[in-house]
Amino acid sequence: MQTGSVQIGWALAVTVALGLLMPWVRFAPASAFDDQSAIVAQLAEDDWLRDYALMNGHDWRALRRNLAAGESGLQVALAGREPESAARALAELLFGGTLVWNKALLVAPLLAAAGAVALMHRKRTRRWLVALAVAQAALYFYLRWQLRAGYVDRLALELNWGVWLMLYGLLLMALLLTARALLPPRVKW
Amino acid sequence: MVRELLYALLFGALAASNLPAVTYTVKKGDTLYGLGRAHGVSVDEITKANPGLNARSLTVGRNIEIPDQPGATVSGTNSPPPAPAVRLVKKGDTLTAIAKQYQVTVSDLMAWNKLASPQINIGQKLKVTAPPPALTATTATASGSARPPAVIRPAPEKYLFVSRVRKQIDAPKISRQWKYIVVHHSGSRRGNAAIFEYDHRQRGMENGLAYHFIIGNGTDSGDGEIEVGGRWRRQVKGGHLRTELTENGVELNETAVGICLVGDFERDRPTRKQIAAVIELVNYLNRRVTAAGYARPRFTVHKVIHPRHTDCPGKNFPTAALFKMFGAGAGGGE
Repeated sequence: MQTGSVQIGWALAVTVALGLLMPWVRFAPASAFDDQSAIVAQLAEDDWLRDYALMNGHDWRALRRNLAAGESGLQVALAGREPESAARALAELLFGGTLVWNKALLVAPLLAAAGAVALMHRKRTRRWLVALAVAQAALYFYLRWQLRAGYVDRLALELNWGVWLMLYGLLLMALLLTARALLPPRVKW
Repeated sequence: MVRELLYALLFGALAASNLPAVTYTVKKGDTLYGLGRAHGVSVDEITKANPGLNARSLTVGRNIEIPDQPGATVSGTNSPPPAPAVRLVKKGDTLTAIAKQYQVTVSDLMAWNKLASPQINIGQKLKVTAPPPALTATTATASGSARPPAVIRPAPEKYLFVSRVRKQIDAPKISRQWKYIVVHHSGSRRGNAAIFEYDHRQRGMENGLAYHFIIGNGTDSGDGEIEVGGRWRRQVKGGHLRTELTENGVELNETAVGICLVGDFERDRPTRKQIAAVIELVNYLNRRVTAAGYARPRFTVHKVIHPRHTDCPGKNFPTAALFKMFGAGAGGGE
């Protein structure tokens, strides 16, 4: 019988992996650029909570429009020099125009799975819990930072729920690993 | 007796020269910052005018004094009204002329009448004063008695970045067709208008700063802060494009407004506030130019107007997104 933390850990690992396979991005309609006052207001605001933990209005509206359409996270990770695609545009936004580092997205489910395994052996792997938590948090904040910095470019794209599933899966896994590492090994949870 | 009369006249005149104050009744959701922005005064000025006012707990229904900014339209209801509420457009009228006549801006008229362009038609009814709700103003007169309530024109729009330099942008009369608005980056991680002005003069540019506007990145000027260059104030040609770059035999500098964002966007990204400022400035300039009776300038960037010469404003500048916003830019002249 696995403890609660291990069960949650595996659920999060599956969430991250599923997120990578689900729709991530599609091109936005041209009307996304119409409300320029709102765009200016959004850019001018320093709302760290919304930028790094929550979702902004543009992203919520995109989710409401269509949950099924879009190219997957896997396509973003494997995007190369193919003709114009939303996956390639997002890969360039997140990892730069060279399209090399976008492969790093493939590491995300591996990190999450490693986190779940580490939770199963938490008495022997406390340092690993911390290291994996830091790695997943770093990936999460890097991606959020790039999404924030590229806000105007991102208006041409609509993010779908796959990207949020993966991002929040990573964040929750990092929190879970940290909590487990901080709790004494004798606490069974 | 004569001396007392003279003192009364002297102090009366001094009192009359003070800026009038507006009595405002606080509504739900009001903040001092928001009221300050709406009236063009700082939070400090409001708190100074209202000793004991707690900025953190504004009570709904409380009357507070808002010092008025110089030049704001304040008029007593007993005095003759400055303008009729609605003006019928006659032959030969232009929006600029009407704005001048009623001492308002063209953008005010466009906002109040929901005009998409400054085009007006004979027989059209134009609102030439701000729509209600109006604020009541009480102004101390020379004799110490209060002026009757007056109507204050509320700010027509919220400009987050342009508002600080709006007067400087509006001051010059536009006397040439600006066909392009060209965005550049400075190629340096620091700088401001004064630094670039010095540099450009050292390089022999007699008109100084080559650009018409500079947008700071938070190093030597504020993040997203717009600085207005002398070339815009004097409405002279830019120095931001190569002189051999021409269109129909006319040097492009003659018709291109230059906006420079401080930063090296080959290495870094522009800040979010810089992008916000450039969007707001381009929109404002578009309205300013069209209000003066000229065609709307086209938005473009240096590397598009001069493709073989430069990568400016850098690969990290969101060129494609801004073209989607403002329409495609000019193709390269040479």
